[in-house]
Amino acid sequence: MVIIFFYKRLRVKKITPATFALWILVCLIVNFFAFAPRLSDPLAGFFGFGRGLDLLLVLGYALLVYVIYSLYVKIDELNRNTTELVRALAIKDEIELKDIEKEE
Amino acid sequence: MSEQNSEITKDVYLVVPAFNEEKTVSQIIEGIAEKGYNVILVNDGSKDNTLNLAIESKKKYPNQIFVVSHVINRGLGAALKTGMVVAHNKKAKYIVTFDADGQHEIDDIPNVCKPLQDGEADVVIGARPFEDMPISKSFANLIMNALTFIFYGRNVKDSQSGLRAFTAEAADKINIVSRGYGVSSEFIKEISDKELRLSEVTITTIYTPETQNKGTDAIVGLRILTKMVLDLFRI
Repeated sequence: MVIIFFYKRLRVKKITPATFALWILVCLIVNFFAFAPRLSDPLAGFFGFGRGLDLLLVLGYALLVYVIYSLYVKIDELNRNTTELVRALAIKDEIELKDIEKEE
Repeated sequence: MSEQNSEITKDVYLVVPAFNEEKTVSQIIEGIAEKGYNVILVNDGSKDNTLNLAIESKKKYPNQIFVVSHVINRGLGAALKTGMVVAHNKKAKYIVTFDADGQHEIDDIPNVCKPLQDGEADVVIGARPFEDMPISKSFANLIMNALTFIFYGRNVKDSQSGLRAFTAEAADKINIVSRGYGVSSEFIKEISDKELRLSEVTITTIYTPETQNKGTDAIVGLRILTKMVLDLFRI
Protein backbone atom coordinates (compact mmCIF):
# COMPACT_ATOMS: atom_id res chain seq x y z
CA MET A 1 0.00 0.00 0.00
CA VAL A 2 2.81 2.36 0.88
CA ILE A 3 4.47 1.58 -2.45
CA ILE A 4 1.20 2.25 -4.33
CA PHE A 5 0.82 5.57 -2.46
CA PHE A 6 4.31 6.73 -3.40
CA TYR A 7 3.94 5.38 -6.96
CA LYS A 8 0.82 7.55 -7.40
CA ARG A 9 2.71 10.59 -6.12
CA LEU A 10 5.56 9.80 -8.51
CA ARG A 11 3.14 9.61 -11.44
CA VAL A 12 1.72 13.08 -10.70
CA LYS A 13 5.31 14.28 -10.21
CA LYS A 14 4.79 15.23 -6.56
CA ILE A 15 7.98 13.34 -5.70
CA THR A 16 11.18 12.68 -7.64
CA PRO A 17 12.28 9.19 -8.78
CA ALA A 18 15.10 9.40 -6.20
CA THR A 19 12.59 9.95 -3.35
CA PHE A 20 10.47 7.10 -4.68
CA ALA A 21 13.52 4.79 -4.76
CA LEU A 22 14.41 5.80 -1.17
CA TRP A 23 10.93 4.92 0.09
CA ILE A 24 11.01 1.57 -1.77
CA LEU A 25 14.33 0.84 -0.04
CA VAL A 26 12.89 1.77 3.40
CA CYS A 27 9.86 -0.50 2.76
CA LEU A 28 12.08 -3.39 1.71
CA ILE A 29 14.31 -3.09 4.78
CA VAL A 30 11.34 -2.84 7.19
CA ASN A 31 9.61 -5.83 5.53
CA PHE A 32 12.79 -7.86 5.54
CA PHE A 33 13.24 -7.42 9.31
CA ALA A 34 9.50 -7.91 9.89
CA PHE A 35 9.69 -11.40 8.34
CA ALA A 36 13.10 -12.25 9.77
CA PRO A 37 13.27 -10.39 13.11
CA ARG A 38 16.09 -12.58 14.47
CA LEU A 39 18.42 -11.29 11.76
CA SER A 40 18.29 -7.81 13.29
CA ASP A 41 19.40 -9.04 16.73
CA PRO A 42 23.17 -8.85 16.04
CA LEU A 43 22.72 -5.23 14.92
CA ALA A 44 20.64 -4.50 18.04
CA GLY A 45 23.28 -6.16 20.22
CA PHE A 46 25.92 -3.89 18.74
CA PHE A 47 23.95 -0.87 20.06
CA GLY A 48 23.31 -2.55 23.43
CA PHE A 49 19.70 -3.68 22.82
CA GLY A 50 18.47 -7.21 23.48
CA ARG A 51 16.12 -7.40 20.49
CA GLY A 52 15.97 -5.82 17.06
CA LEU A 53 12.42 -4.67 17.77
CA ASP A 54 13.62 -2.63 20.78
CA LEU A 55 16.21 -0.92 18.59
CA LEU A 56 13.52 -0.19 16.00
CA LEU A 57 11.18 1.31 18.62
CA VAL A 58 13.89 3.55 20.07
CA LEU A 59 14.97 4.68 16.61
CA GLY A 60 11.33 5.33 15.67
CA TYR A 61 10.78 7.35 18.85
CA ALA A 62 13.93 9.40 18.26
CA LEU A 63 12.85 10.04 14.68
CA LEU A 64 9.39 11.18 15.80
CA VAL A 65 10.83 13.58 18.38
CA TYR A 66 13.13 14.99 15.71
CA VAL A 67 10.28 15.39 13.22
CA ILE A 68 8.01 17.10 15.78
CA TYR A 69 10.75 19.49 16.87
CA SER A 70 11.63 20.27 13.24
CA LEU A 71 7.97 21.06 12.57
CA TYR A 72 7.84 23.27 15.67
CA VAL A 73 10.88 25.21 14.48
CA LYS A 74 9.45 25.50 10.97
CA ILE A 75 6.04 26.72 12.17
CA ASP A 76 7.74 29.17 14.54
CA GLU A 77 9.79 30.52 11.64
CA LEU A 78 6.68 30.82 9.44
CA ASN A 79 4.89 32.65 12.25
CA ARG A 80 7.77 35.08 12.64
CA ASN A 81 7.93 35.73 8.92
CA THR A 82 4.16 36.33 8.81
CA THR A 83 4.44 38.78 11.71
CA GLU A 84 7.30 40.63 9.98
CA LEU A 85 5.20 40.87 6.83
CA VAL A 86 2.11 42.09 8.69
CA ARG A 87 4.27 44.63 10.58
CA ALA A 88 5.91 45.95 7.40
CA LEU A 89 2.48 46.37 5.80
CA ALA A 90 1.08 48.14 8.87
CA ILE A 91 3.98 50.59 9.01
CA LYS A 92 3.95 51.23 5.26
CA ASP A 93 0.20 51.83 5.26
CA GLU A 94 -0.04 53.99 8.39
CA ILE A 95 -3.49 55.53 8.37
CA GLU A 96 -3.45 59.11 7.11
CA LEU A 97 -6.49 61.38 7.25
CA LYS A 98 -6.01 62.57 3.68
CA ASP A 99 -6.33 58.96 2.44
CA ILE A 100 -9.57 58.51 4.38
CA GLU A 101 -10.98 61.78 3.05
CA LYS A 102 -10.18 60.62 -0.50
CA GLU A 103 -12.07 57.36 0.08
CA GLU A 104 -15.05 59.27 1.47
CA MET B 1 -9.79 70.59 20.53
CA SER B 2 -6.44 69.01 21.10
CA GLU B 3 -4.17 70.29 23.78
CA GLN B 4 -0.83 71.24 22.29
CA ASN B 5 2.17 69.08 23.17
CA SER B 6 4.03 70.63 26.06
CA GLU B 7 7.79 70.48 26.44
CA ILE B 8 7.42 67.54 28.81
CA THR B 9 4.94 65.51 26.77
CA LYS B 10 5.95 66.16 23.16
CA ASP B 11 8.73 63.55 23.13
CA VAL B 12 6.62 60.88 24.84
CA TYR B 13 4.89 58.33 22.59
CA LEU B 14 2.40 55.88 24.06
CA VAL B 15 2.09 52.56 22.29
CA VAL B 16 -1.43 51.21 22.74
CA PRO B 17 -2.04 47.72 21.31
CA ALA B 18 -5.71 46.98 20.76
CA PHE B 19 -7.52 43.78 19.85
CA ASN B 20 -11.32 44.04 19.92
CA GLU B 21 -11.35 47.00 22.33
CA GLU B 22 -14.27 48.99 20.87
CA LYS B 23 -15.70 49.65 24.32
CA THR B 24 -12.67 51.49 25.63
CA VAL B 25 -10.34 52.46 22.78
CA SER B 26 -11.74 55.96 22.05
CA GLN B 27 -11.83 56.96 25.69
CA ILE B 28 -8.27 55.73 26.28
CA ILE B 29 -6.48 57.24 23.29
CA GLU B 30 -8.40 60.54 23.41
CA GLY B 31 -7.77 60.73 27.15
CA ILE B 32 -4.03 60.32 26.57
CA ALA B 33 -3.99 62.84 23.71
CA GLU B 34 -5.95 65.28 25.88
CA LYS B 35 -3.01 65.27 28.31
CA GLY B 36 -0.71 66.30 25.46
CA TYR B 37 1.01 62.96 24.81
CA ASN B 38 1.42 61.29 21.43
CA VAL B 39 -0.38 57.98 20.93
CA ILE B 40 0.38 55.15 18.53
CA LEU B 41 -2.67 52.90 18.36
CA VAL B 42 -1.83 49.47 16.95
CA ASN B 43 -5.00 47.74 15.84
CA ASP B 44 -4.10 44.05 16.00
CA GLY B 45 -6.52 42.60 13.45
CA SER B 46 -9.63 43.46 15.49
CA LYS B 47 -12.91 42.00 14.26
CA ASP B 48 -15.02 44.70 15.92
CA ASN B 49 -15.18 48.46 15.36
CA THR B 50 -11.85 49.27 17.08
CA LEU B 51 -10.12 50.53 13.92
CA ASN B 52 -12.95 52.84 12.84
CA LEU B 53 -13.23 54.30 16.33
CA ALA B 54 -9.47 54.89 16.40
CA ILE B 55 -9.71 56.72 13.06
CA GLU B 56 -12.53 58.90 14.47
CA SER B 57 -10.27 59.74 17.42
CA LYS B 58 -7.44 60.57 15.03
CA LYS B 59 -9.70 63.08 13.30
CA LYS B 60 -10.04 64.88 16.64
CA TYR B 61 -6.28 64.79 17.42
CA PRO B 62 -4.61 64.50 13.98
CA ASN B 63 -1.17 65.53 15.18
CA GLN B 64 -1.09 63.37 18.29
CA ILE B 65 -2.89 60.14 17.47
CA PHE B 66 -1.25 57.81 14.95
CA VAL B 67 -2.99 54.64 13.82
CA VAL B 68 -1.38 51.55 12.31
CA SER B 69 -3.24 48.32 11.68
CA HIS B 70 -2.22 44.65 11.46
CA VAL B 71 -4.31 43.03 8.73
CA ILE B 72 -4.52 39.86 10.84
CA ASN B 73 -4.19 39.28 14.58
CA ARG B 74 -0.55 38.65 15.55
CA GLY B 75 -0.71 38.91 19.34
CA LEU B 76 0.18 41.40 22.06
CA GLY B 77 3.95 41.06 21.68
CA ALA B 78 3.85 41.59 17.93
CA ALA B 79 1.57 44.65 18.29
CA LEU B 80 3.83 46.19 20.93
CA LYS B 81 6.87 45.72 18.74
CA THR B 82 5.11 47.32 15.76
CA GLY B 83 4.17 50.30 17.92
CA MET B 84 7.71 50.63 19.24
CA VAL B 85 9.13 50.58 15.70
CA VAL B 86 6.68 53.33 14.67
CA ALA B 87 7.63 55.36 17.77
CA HIS B 88 11.30 54.96 16.86
CA ASN B 89 10.58 56.16 13.31
CA LYS B 90 8.82 59.22 14.73
CA LYS B 91 11.93 60.04 16.79
CA ALA B 92 10.29 59.40 20.15
CA LYS B 93 12.52 60.14 23.13
CA TYR B 94 10.45 58.10 25.57
CA ILE B 95 8.18 55.17 24.70
CA VAL B 96 5.41 54.03 27.05
CA THR B 97 3.34 50.87 26.55
CA PHE B 98 -0.24 51.23 27.75
CA ASP B 99 -3.10 48.69 27.66
CA ALA B 100 -6.23 49.62 25.70
CA ASP B 101 -8.65 47.80 28.01
CA GLY B 102 -8.90 50.63 30.51
CA GLN B 103 -7.00 49.01 33.37
CA HIS B 104 -4.36 51.75 33.57
CA GLU B 105 -4.80 55.22 35.01
CA ILE B 106 -3.78 57.94 32.54
CA ASP B 107 -2.49 60.03 35.45
CA ASP B 108 0.18 57.36 36.06
CA ILE B 109 1.95 58.21 32.77
CA PRO B 110 4.02 61.08 34.23
CA ASN B 111 4.96 58.86 37.19
CA VAL B 112 6.47 56.13 34.99
CA CYS B 113 8.19 58.69 32.75
CA LYS B 114 9.80 60.66 35.59
CA PRO B 115 12.69 58.26 36.41
CA LEU B 116 13.57 58.25 32.68
CA GLN B 117 13.42 62.03 32.36
CA ASP B 118 15.52 62.39 35.53
CA GLY B 119 18.11 60.02 34.06
CA GLU B 120 17.68 57.55 36.93
CA ALA B 121 16.55 54.57 34.82
CA ASP B 122 16.47 53.19 31.27
CA VAL B 123 13.26 51.25 31.80
CA VAL B 124 10.38 51.73 34.24
CA ILE B 125 7.74 49.16 35.05
CA GLY B 126 4.47 50.29 36.58
CA ALA B 127 3.88 47.78 39.37
CA ARG B 128 0.26 47.01 40.22
CA PRO B 129 -0.29 46.38 43.94
CA PHE B 130 -1.28 42.70 44.14
CA GLU B 131 -3.49 43.29 47.17
CA ASP B 132 -5.82 45.36 44.95
CA MET B 133 -6.27 42.47 42.49
CA PRO B 134 -8.87 39.72 42.58
CA ILE B 135 -7.33 36.64 44.25
CA SER B 136 -7.15 34.52 41.06
CA LYS B 137 -5.24 37.31 39.27
CA SER B 138 -2.86 38.04 42.13
CA PHE B 139 -2.04 34.32 42.48
CA ALA B 140 -1.37 33.94 38.73
CA ASN B 141 0.81 37.06 38.76
CA LEU B 142 2.77 35.83 41.81
CA ILE B 143 3.49 32.56 39.99
CA MET B 144 4.58 34.49 36.90
CA ASN B 145 6.92 36.63 39.00
CA ALA B 146 8.46 33.44 40.43
CA LEU B 147 8.83 31.89 36.96
CA THR B 148 10.34 35.09 35.57
CA PHE B 149 12.89 35.00 38.40
CA ILE B 150 13.67 31.28 37.83
CA PHE B 151 14.03 31.59 34.06
CA TYR B 152 15.47 35.07 33.69
CA GLY B 153 17.08 35.71 37.09
CA ARG B 154 15.38 39.03 37.75
CA ASN B 155 13.15 39.65 40.73
CA VAL B 156 10.50 42.25 39.92
CA LYS B 157 7.34 43.31 41.74
CA ASP B 158 5.06 42.88 38.72
CA SER B 159 6.50 41.03 35.72
CA GLN B 160 3.18 41.04 33.81
CA SER B 161 2.36 44.75 33.99
CA GLY B 162 1.32 46.35 30.71
CA LEU B 163 2.42 49.84 31.74
CA ARG B 164 6.12 50.21 30.97
CA ALA B 165 8.28 53.12 29.93
CA PHE B 166 11.54 53.05 27.99
CA THR B 167 14.08 55.57 26.82
CA ALA B 168 14.48 55.45 23.03
CA GLU B 169 17.99 54.01 23.46
CA ALA B 170 16.75 51.23 25.75
CA ALA B 171 13.86 50.41 23.42
CA ASP B 172 16.33 50.06 20.53
CA LYS B 173 18.36 47.51 22.49
CA ILE B 174 15.35 45.39 23.42
CA ASN B 175 14.63 42.59 20.96
CA ILE B 176 11.20 41.03 21.38
CA VAL B 177 10.23 37.80 19.63
CA SER B 178 7.23 36.64 21.68
CA ARG B 179 3.94 37.28 19.94
CA GLY B 180 1.52 36.70 22.80
CA TYR B 181 1.32 37.51 26.50
CA GLY B 182 4.80 35.97 27.01
CA VAL B 183 6.13 39.35 25.91
CA SER B 184 5.89 40.73 29.46
CA SER B 185 8.38 38.20 30.81
CA GLU B 186 10.51 38.62 27.71
CA PHE B 187 10.83 42.34 28.43
CA ILE B 188 12.29 41.42 31.83
CA LYS B 189 14.69 38.95 30.17
CA GLU B 190 15.86 41.61 27.74
CA ILE B 191 16.24 44.22 30.50
CA SER B 192 18.39 41.71 32.37
CA ASP B 193 20.42 40.55 29.35
CA LYS B 194 21.11 44.07 28.10
CA GLU B 195 21.92 45.25 31.66
CA LEU B 196 19.46 48.13 31.51
CA ARG B 197 18.72 50.16 34.64
CA LEU B 198 15.24 49.22 35.85
CA SER B 199 13.01 51.20 38.16
CA GLU B 200 9.59 50.14 39.45
CA VAL B 201 6.85 52.63 40.22
CA THR B 202 3.62 51.71 41.98
CA ILE B 203 0.59 52.40 39.77
CA THR B 204 -3.17 52.30 40.14
CA THR B 205 -5.05 49.43 38.53
CA ILE B 206 -8.67 49.68 37.52
CA TYR B 207 -10.42 46.30 37.55
CA THR B 208 -13.63 46.09 35.53
CA PRO B 209 -15.39 42.98 34.14
CA GLU B 210 -13.64 43.66 30.78
CA THR B 211 -10.15 43.91 32.26
CA GLN B 212 -10.78 40.81 34.38
CA ASN B 213 -11.41 38.76 31.27
CA LYS B 214 -8.01 39.61 29.86
CA GLY B 215 -4.45 39.37 31.10
CA THR B 216 -2.77 36.65 33.08
CA ASP B 217 -4.91 33.82 34.42
CA ALA B 218 -3.98 30.18 35.01
CA ILE B 219 -4.32 29.16 31.34
CA VAL B 220 -2.35 32.13 30.03
CA GLY B 221 0.25 31.43 32.75
CA LEU B 222 0.63 27.81 31.58
CA ARG B 223 1.01 28.95 27.97
CA ILE B 224 3.72 31.43 28.98
CA LEU B 225 5.50 28.70 30.98
CA THR B 226 5.42 26.35 27.95
CA LYS B 227 6.83 29.11 25.77
CA MET B 228 9.59 29.82 28.29
CA VAL B 229 10.61 26.15 28.32
CA LEU B 230 10.49 25.86 24.50
CA ASP B 231 12.54 29.05 24.16
CA LEU B 232 15.32 27.33 26.09
CA PHE B 233 15.59 24.86 23.18
CA ARG B 234 15.34 27.50 20.47
CA ILE B 235 18.07 27.09 17.84
